[in-house]
Amino acid sequence: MEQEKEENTKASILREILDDPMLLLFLGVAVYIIFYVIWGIMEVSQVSEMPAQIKQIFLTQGR
Amino acid sequence: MFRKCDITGFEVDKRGEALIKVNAVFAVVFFLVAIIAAFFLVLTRHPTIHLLPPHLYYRFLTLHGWNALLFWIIFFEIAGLYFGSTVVLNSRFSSPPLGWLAFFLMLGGALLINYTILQGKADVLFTSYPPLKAHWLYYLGVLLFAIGALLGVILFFANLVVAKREGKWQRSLPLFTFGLLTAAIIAIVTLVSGAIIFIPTFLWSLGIIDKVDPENYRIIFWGVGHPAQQINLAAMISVWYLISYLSVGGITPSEKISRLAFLLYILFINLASAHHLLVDPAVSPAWKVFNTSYAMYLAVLGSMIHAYAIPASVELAQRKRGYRGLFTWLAKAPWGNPAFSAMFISLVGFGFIGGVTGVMIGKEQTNIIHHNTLAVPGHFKGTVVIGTTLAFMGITYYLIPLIFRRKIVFYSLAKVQPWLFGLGIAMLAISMLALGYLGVPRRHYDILFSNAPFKHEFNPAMWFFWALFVIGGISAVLGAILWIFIVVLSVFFGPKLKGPEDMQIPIVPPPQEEKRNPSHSSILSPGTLTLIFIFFVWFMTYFFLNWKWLSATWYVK
Amino acid sequence: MALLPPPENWDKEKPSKDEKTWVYIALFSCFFMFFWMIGWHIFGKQNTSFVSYKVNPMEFFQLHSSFVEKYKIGEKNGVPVVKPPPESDVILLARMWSWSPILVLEKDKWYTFHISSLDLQHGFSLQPVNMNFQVVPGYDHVLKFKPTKEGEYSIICNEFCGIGHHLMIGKIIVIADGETPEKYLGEIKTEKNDFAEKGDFNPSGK
Repeated sequence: MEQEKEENTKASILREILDDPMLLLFLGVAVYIIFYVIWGIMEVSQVSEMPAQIKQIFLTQGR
Repeated sequence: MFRKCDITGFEVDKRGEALIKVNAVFAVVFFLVAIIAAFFLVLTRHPTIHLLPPHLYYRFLTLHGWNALLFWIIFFEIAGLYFGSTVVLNSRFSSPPLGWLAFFLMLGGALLINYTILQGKADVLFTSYPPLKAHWLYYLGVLLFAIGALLGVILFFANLVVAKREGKWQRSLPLFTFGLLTAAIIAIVTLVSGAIIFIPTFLWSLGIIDKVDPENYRIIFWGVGHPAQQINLAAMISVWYLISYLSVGGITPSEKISRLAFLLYILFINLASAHHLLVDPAVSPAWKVFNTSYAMYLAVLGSMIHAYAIPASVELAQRKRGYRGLFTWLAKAPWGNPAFSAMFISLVGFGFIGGVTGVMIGKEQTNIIHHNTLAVPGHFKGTVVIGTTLAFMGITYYLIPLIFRRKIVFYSLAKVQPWLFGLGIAMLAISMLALGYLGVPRRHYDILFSNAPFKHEFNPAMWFFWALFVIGGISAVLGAILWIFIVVLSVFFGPKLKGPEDMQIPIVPPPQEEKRNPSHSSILSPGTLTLIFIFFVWFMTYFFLNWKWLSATWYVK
Repeated sequence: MALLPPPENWDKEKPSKDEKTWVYIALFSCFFMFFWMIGWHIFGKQNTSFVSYKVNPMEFFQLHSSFVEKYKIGEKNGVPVVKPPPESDVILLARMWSWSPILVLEKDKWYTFHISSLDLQHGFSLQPVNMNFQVVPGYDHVLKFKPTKEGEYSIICNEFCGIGHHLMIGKIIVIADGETPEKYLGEIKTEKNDFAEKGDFNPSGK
């Protein structure tokens, strides 16, 4: 009985989501903005300047 | 305001129907531009033909990209969105004036973009990667087109809201409209991203902004570019369901699972924009792997669900009509119906060529042997051309009588058209993929390096594939021209359709409904199950082949 | 049903056995593919870069010039030929429309490449191994390579970079034990010239 009720509620939650176009729109945009855009832009903004020691490897004269 | 369709029984808002028609007509106009460009490109890319000189090659490539990938498809999709949110719901179009505004914005933008390209002011290819810079009118055109399309998509949502308020639908939308809703949501992602990136780029082209960071541009641009193609994916699948329904009375085996598959698209498919940045600096493997994959493989699950559900919908309907045997249902399917044949070729082509190559190109490490090679356009010919475009060609055979109320001229030729186009594109796509694996670059005028300081010799096997490329490409161009010819003649000069008796292309009602209560122990669609296993074997073979090919290269980390 | 509303309790209906079987198989394959990608980072020999830096293009050009001066052993068609020590950092500069320098590497040794562009985006496409990476101005794309086979390799540009895009081709030479770069390149002029400072050449002759 419990399981049946649970199953009914579970199905309803899925149904509620699927039947709500605005909620779907929100979810679709939100997941994309968070995981792709914001995370991606954050990573690009955190790229550091080439370290001086590496530049030195090339700039020091002689072998 | 309404007319009642005497064939389907739907209530059609005539003002919305006008908008559907005008968007569909202009879709075909831009498709023609794209095909003309394609003809020249096929004969230029071949290393010994080189029909166009270099600057025109890059120009036509830009032109083809915009007209094929965006104008043709998005105008058509706007027509489809309007259809799915009004006609299918027997509901009115929320705001026809805004619909016309959207149309003219899109048209203006498209004309402006084409104009600047043809003027040589936008030789930047459709990706227009900074620091490559086009004339500011080009970016203005892009913004106009995007805003127009965004308005059209918003009207789709508005139509749904109006229809619900007026009691035309409760709780659940029909599956076709639900699929279009998926497409519309992805379209919102696409177009909003477009605004985020093209406004600063436009200002940069005017000299108002100093610089656009190339990596940030790439991230956001592909938030436009890839989801734009996923709109096409969702729309294509919706059209597949629709064609199955119209041509054989096919019904999806499970509304729940099919809708769940669309939900997976809504949530995760846009993350795969990361595909285009897999071998970029600046973004981390973690970001790449998550976005290109985990979430995205759930979206791939969505595709694999639809790949099963649509053939199964055909098989189940056919079996109810009495066809036994593993594949009799398929052999006796209405192959003479050009919409059905288009749908099935599209499905097989998308699955075996476009889909699997997309997954492998989109894996972080195997991207190394694919990025910017000819395999990439080969892949997307296998998705957006043999998939979406062919599906749209197919459904048009129903739109001509139902929306344009005309008979299809040269109907016997129409039956052949999907094969000519489909097989042509299949050959084209396969040849491009093979060439890409041999290392041939995309967007490249001369792989024989005639005037370059050094030479590189590709594997001589490439000549076979170049021949296939030309044969496939020309066949596809012919198949496309044939379709345009039939469509334009029918719509503008075809005999008027007086009623159901004039329908050449059949609408087949679903067979007698058996009690829908499949027991868990019976297999209802063994034919589809067999086909999908064949597909799966191919997929896994291709998967392992790619990793094998990757491991034959240098070590890199 | 595609055009009509679904049955009332569509969310309660049980899917058929075949569909469920397929969905489970498909789902399993999805997770398999995902974990395979992660696993390849641990066990695979080909992976993308974890490291990149911001670098000003003009500064990168200076680094390139210094690097070339340090290790130059000759020249071919106007491009410096450079032989850096194994396990070291090397520079590869992309510009409209050439790659510089021509690197001479030893087989089975690691090299840390720093790849960037002076102007537009370019595509590093190493043939015939077909390894492809994006080259972006303002970013130092750091990639560690270990050539596995000796021979003459070409660097093609596969990102559109203007009208000379298809003229843009460079070389990498990988020598095995006992081999010399001349085996693959032919004669390379050895007198030092001021190429590195001028940095000005026009391979297309136009």
